[in-house]
Formats: sequence, structure tokens, C-alpha cells
Amino acid sequence: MLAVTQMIDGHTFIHLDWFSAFQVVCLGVIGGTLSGFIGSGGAFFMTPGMMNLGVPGAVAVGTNITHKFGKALMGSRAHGEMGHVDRLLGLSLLVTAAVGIHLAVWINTSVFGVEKGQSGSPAGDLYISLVFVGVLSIVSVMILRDALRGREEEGPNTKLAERFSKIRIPPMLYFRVADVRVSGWVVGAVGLATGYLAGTIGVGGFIGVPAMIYVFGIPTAVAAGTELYLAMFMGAWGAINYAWQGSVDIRLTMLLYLGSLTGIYIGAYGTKVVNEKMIRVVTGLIILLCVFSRAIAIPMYLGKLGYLDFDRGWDPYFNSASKAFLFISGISGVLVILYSVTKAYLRRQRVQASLAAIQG
Amino acid sequence: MPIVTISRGSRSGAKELAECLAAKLGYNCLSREELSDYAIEQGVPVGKLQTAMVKPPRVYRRMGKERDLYMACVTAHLCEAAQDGKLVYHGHAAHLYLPDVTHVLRVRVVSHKEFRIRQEMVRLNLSREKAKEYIENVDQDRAKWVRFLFGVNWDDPHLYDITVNVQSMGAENAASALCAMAELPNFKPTPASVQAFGNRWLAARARFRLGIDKRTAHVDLHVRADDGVVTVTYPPQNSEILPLVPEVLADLDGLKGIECAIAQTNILWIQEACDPASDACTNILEVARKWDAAVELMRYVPKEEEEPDLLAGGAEEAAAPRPATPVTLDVRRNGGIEDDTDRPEPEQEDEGLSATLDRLVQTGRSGGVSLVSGSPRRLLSAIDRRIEYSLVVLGDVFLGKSSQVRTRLQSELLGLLTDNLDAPVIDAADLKTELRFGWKQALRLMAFLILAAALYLGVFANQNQVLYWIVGGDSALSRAVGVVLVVVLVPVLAYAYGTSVRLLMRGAGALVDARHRRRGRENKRSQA
Repeated sequence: MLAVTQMIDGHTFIHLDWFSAFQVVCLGVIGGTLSGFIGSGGAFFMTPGMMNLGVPGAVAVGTNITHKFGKALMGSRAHGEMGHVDRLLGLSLLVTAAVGIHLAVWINTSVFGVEKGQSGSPAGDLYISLVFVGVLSIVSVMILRDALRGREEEGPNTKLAERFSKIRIPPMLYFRVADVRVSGWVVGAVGLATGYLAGTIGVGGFIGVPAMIYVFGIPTAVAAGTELYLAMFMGAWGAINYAWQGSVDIRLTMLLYLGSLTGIYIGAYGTKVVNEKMIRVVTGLIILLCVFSRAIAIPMYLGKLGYLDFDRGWDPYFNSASKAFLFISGISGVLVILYSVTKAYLRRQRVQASLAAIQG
Repeated sequence: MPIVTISRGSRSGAKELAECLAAKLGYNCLSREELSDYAIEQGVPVGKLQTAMVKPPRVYRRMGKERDLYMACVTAHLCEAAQDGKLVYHGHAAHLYLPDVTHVLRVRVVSHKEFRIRQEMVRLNLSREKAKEYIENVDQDRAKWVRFLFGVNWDDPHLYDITVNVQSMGAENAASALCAMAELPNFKPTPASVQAFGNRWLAARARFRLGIDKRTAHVDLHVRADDGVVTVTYPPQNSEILPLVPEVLADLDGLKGIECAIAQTNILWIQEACDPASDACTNILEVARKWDAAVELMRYVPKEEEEPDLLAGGAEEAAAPRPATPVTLDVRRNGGIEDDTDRPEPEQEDEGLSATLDRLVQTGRSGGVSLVSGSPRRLLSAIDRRIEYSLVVLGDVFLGKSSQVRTRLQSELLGLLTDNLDAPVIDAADLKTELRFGWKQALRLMAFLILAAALYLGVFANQNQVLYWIVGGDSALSRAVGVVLVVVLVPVLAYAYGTSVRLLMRGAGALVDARHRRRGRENKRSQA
């Protein structure tokens, strides 16, 4: 963990050298590839990743949500060209998501003392980690159980979507690109939850994407693309809020872009050429490994708050183990994606080569 | 004297019989395990093939190249061991490696299942139930293996000249009987059977060479030999291997000449509305002409599947699978052969199907036509898997949907076909797409790269100052300045850098495309 060396007007910002900058760029590559492929994957990986580098929790969240703004802008553009973005659905979720983000920012900054001069606290880090572990463990198990059940040919389980589609409380909204009809109240509830989680732990997509797939019954690729479109606005709103609080490290945001804006195109291309079930399997596995990563760090925060009594000398080991799991999850997810994308790309290239040979 | 092949199950006494017979005849004895070990030493992925047996057929169907390599390797080694005719082989239906060689005595060895179970109970120290399960699993795996390699049921008695029960006869007596049978004139080598043996051996060695060489290993090849001349048949989309085949087969023993031929093949064209004057039709015909392929036209009309009528048929009927069947036009399904009788054209909207078929027939490329309506899964089940298509072209479908939904659904259908068909599947738009990266794109790339570089330099050279501006002071104005800085800088940088990356990828794609075309021109020149 790098020593925190810069204090600017009461805020703490980490010192950047070449090695730490390289690590941040790698975080960006992994986050961007995951985002492009599964519609999310920035925050769950990059927020804890930055925290493991010594970035205070609220600054990590604020930096990542700012980074999300630009990354989602470019990612949704790529997905839009493939017909994967339902703008009406995205904007519908946005309204309540904005409320959720504002609520989360207020709690983070007011309740956990992230005022000027108090960037980050063990209580804030513990709260973020507990929410992270609690929510995402349920999501990952649900996704994996569904993806790994039964015959390979079946798509996502539609039982939940069929139940929610029976809720006919007006206003009923028809989303043309996704080709589904849902009550506005359901859309609002999902948006609120997504926004709150985005503002709390910087993870909105891992609620938003599964919600769109299983609650609305939307195709996986459209859920991924629409989530990126929504993330663009949420990122902008979050950036404004956290920048107002002074909790954005613009240097880290820019370093993340060096990696993520390459990865996002690779991931988006992957949704076009790779089996839909693979997208869900990769999603579930990555979230699960990230949950382990965060869970390992929780005893450290409990110790700092005095709830657990053990030698503080163990903290570096907890941190290292947490970091290791995080990188394993992100790197293995990206490797699986890159392998699938490369295989599909080479297969296409072989056909293209023989066709080009004819045309000369 | 004939080659003797003994096909065996587990614990049937075949090994003892083979060794006894080999001793009586003065022959060499070779087992399946030795052949397998040899194949592994030569780099054949035998383990991968055996593991694939327990997977669904869809998985091991895709291991055709590995299977061909294994068979070529094993056939070559078997022939080498049997070149003087003095060989007793025991394994799984080995005579099937030499199907047209008549001087092979094909023996099947059987014994009572109880006897085999008792043998395994003693050998592996198992209970009766476990030993029975083991025997049944081994028999099942062996049957799958033979079916995978040869497409036959190894228990079929028509595959053998004689079936021997070693348990009741004893190995010694059975070997004596086989010695006598080997003397019969039916099993004596003749000039024709010796030549057939030689042809098999040469073809196997040639196929193995081509399968193990990295330059040609990726291609589905068919190899046969006739009196020293090897004929290599390759798929039309792999014409790049044409100059490589003589290089790979150079100095092969017994080789007198090489001939290469393109395989006869079909292209499947899936379209919702057909237009004989369209670019897609023209491009497909060009490919078909070059590959000497027939074009099978399948008109696909996407429809939502009907809800099952639970009242009429009950839940069980509703849950039963409904295989899709292609609906054929009354007028033609026969590739353009006209009937003698005059029949009025059926009044139906065929969306240009008839006119397109006419064009295919006139160019001599028609492979028939069919009509399918329903879900994408119905389309998939309607495609005849027995036909080896060299290419599947997906034209415009989902025409009734908006453009965005159509793009997505088309992409999903392309993915579904790619995952489930062995043939390469492409979009009709890709048939004649040439990636271009000209001066305009290059200038845009330079401009955005410079902008992005300037922003990075500006921020990292003045880190403290920039962070101070963002953090701001206590006043609302200073905070607002920080917010504006973030909200402006972030999307501008993302757009500049993101667009640069996209243009770079496009440039790389154009380079690859240009290289393919250059190779195509070189191949054309060398063929001319």
C-alpha cells in the first residue's frame, strides 16, 4: 500500500509514481473490458482496486464514478451501433437513479464524516464493504445458478420477468429496442436501488444489468448496452456531486481512461461474437470473487473500530489477500473474455481471408 | 498369409488368443494399447479424443480433424507392422482401418458376461455390482469410440468373418481353428488386395504428414492414394494450402505424384426477402462460382412461436418438443428441373424467392430452395446437418422490426448459427466489405491523439495545482470551478482518447484486410 503523502486543503491524495500509475492503468484495462462485455465491471473492480492502493474510500468512489462518466459515454456509443441501447429505458431508470445517488452521497459524506478535511474513515470503509458483500453475494449466486442450470440452449430464467410483467399498475411503458412492456413503478424501484448502490459503493451495474435481464426480461446484450447508457448520466451526476465535495482525484480518472477506453471496445465487440450464456457466467464468477476480496478486508475495518481485537500487524496480510483475490477475479474474467473474443475473431478472420482471396 | 485382426471386449480372453495365434503362425503381435501409445508419441491428442467421448455429440462432432489425424497415424503404423502380412492385431475392430484389403481375417472374440464380471472382481478387488458396472461402462465407451471413428456398431456380426468364444473353446483350440482358417484361399493376398493395402498405407502417411504440419493442420482434408499418386481434396475456402501440399509431402516414401482437387460443396443462403438484383445475390454467386459450389436458398420468415393450447392437448403435449420442419414451395424444390405438365403458378407472395431461384438456375448454381417460418431455434432445427456446407450466409432478416432491433436480432441469430453449426457463418454484408482507412481517418486520428496528449501533459505536469482547483476552497464559487473543470475535462478527454483508440483499431483492421487481398492476388497469379 502506498503512503499517502499529499494533503490538499484537508483532502488526502496518494502519491503517484510509475509503478502505481501502471497499476491504475491495468485496473482501467480490466474494468473497461469487463464493462464493455457485461455492462458493468468498472466500479466493483476499480473502487476496491484503488482502495487497495491506499486511496481513501470516498475518493475511490468519487474518482471511479467520474471515470464512469467518460467510459460509459464511449461504451454506449459502441453498443448503440450494434442496436444494444434502449434510450427510453435508460432515461426512465435515470430519473429515480439520480435520487438514489443523491441519497447515497448524503449518507457517505454526512454520516461517515466525509467532510472537508475528513476524506475517508474506517467506519465509512466498513459500511461500503458490508453493503458490497451483502448485496453482491446474493446477485452473483443468483446469476450463476441460473446460467449453469439445465441445457445450454436456454436463455435467462424468465419466471421473475413474467411475474413482474403481470404488474399492470399504470403508467405502463413499452421499450421498443428491448421489446418489453413494464409498469413505470417497477422501473422506478429498480432505478432507485441502482442509483443508491452506485452512490454508496460505486456499483450500480451489477444491480442494474441483472435487474434488466431477470426483472424486465431484456436480452443480455441490450441490458449491457442500456446500462452503459444509464451509467453515462449517473456518472455525470455522481461526478458533479463528488467533485463538489472535493473527492475526485482527476489524475486517477485519466490514468484509468488509458486502459478502460481500449478495453471497452474489445468487450463490446465480444457481446457481438460470444455466446450470451458466457456473458452471464463471466458476470457471476467475477462478482463472486470480488465479494471474497471485500469480505477478507472487513476484519481489518472491524479491528480499527475496536469491534475485533487482534494484532494490527495482520492488516497488511488482510490487505494483500484482499488485493490478490481482486486481481484474480478481474484478470481471470478478462482472460476468459479475451480468449473467447480472440477465438471468435480468428474464426471470422479465416472466413474473411478466404473471401478476400477470391475478391483479390 | 492373411493379416489377422481380433476385436475384443474387456476380459474376453482375446489377448491370450492373439498371443497364442501369433506364436503358432510365427507372426508379430500388436495391441491397441501399443497403437495408442505410438499415436501419443507422435503428438496426436489421444487423451483429448477419449475425453470428448463422454461429452455431448455436438462436442466430439467438432473433433473431425483430431479424429482424422489419429486414424491416419494408427493406420500408417498398423500398415508398417503388417507390411509383410505377418501380423496379429488385437483391439477394437482394427480391420475397419483397412476396409478394402481382402487378405484380412476378421475375428470377434466373445465370452459370457458373468465370466468377465468374475474376472474383474478378482483383478480389481471389486464387489459384483461394481464389477458389472465397470464392465458395462467399458463396453459402452468402446462402442462409442468405434462409432466415433468408423460410424458403425462394433457388435454387428456382419463386420466379422468369425466369432469365437474363447471361454468355452480355450485359447489354444481357438488359435488352432484360426490357423486352419487362415489357410483358406479367401484370405490369401492377391495383387489387387496388396495394391489396396499399399494405397491405404501411402494415403495414411500422407494424411498424417499433412495433419501434423502446422501449415496444413488446420484444414479438413481428404486424402487417397492410387498406385503412388496421392490425391488431396481440400475445401474451397482453404485454397491457400495449394502450394504447401507438395512441400509437406516432399520425400514421402512411395510417392510418385500429387494431385489437388477442390471439394464439391454447398453454400446455404438464409434470407427473408430475396432480390435477384441485389448485391448479396451477386456476391454469393461470385463466391459460388469460385468455389464451384451450389447455393441452397432458404427463405426464413421470423415469427413468434404460438402459445401451446393447454386446453386442447394438456400440459404434457404443451411441454413436448416440436421439431421444426422446412415448408417447401409447391413450385420447386428440385434445383430447377422443369416439369413437363403445365401448372398454374400458385398465387402467393414469395418475396422474390422464385425470381432469385431463377437466377441461380440460370447460372447453374442452384442447390434447391426451402421456406421456414418460426423462431430462430426453428430455423436452426430446419437446417440439414447431414449436408456439409462450406459457408452459411445470413442475409437480411427481421425486416418487420425497427433498424436497431433488427441489428441486434440479426447479430443474435448470427451468434446462434455460429455456435451450433460446423460451417463458418457470415453476414451477407461481410461478403464484400473492404475496410478502408484513408487520409481523412488518419488526420482525425492525429488530431485526437494530439488533443489527448496535450490534456495528459497539462494535468500531470501541474498535478498539485489541478488538484487544488478541483478540491476548491470553502466558497461555493471555488467548488463550482472544480465541478466545471471535472465535468468539462472528463468527457472531452474520453471522447478524444476513445476516438483515437477506435480509429487505431480500424486502421489495424484495414491493414489485415489489405494483407488478405494481397495474398489472394498472389495466389491467383501463381495459379494462373
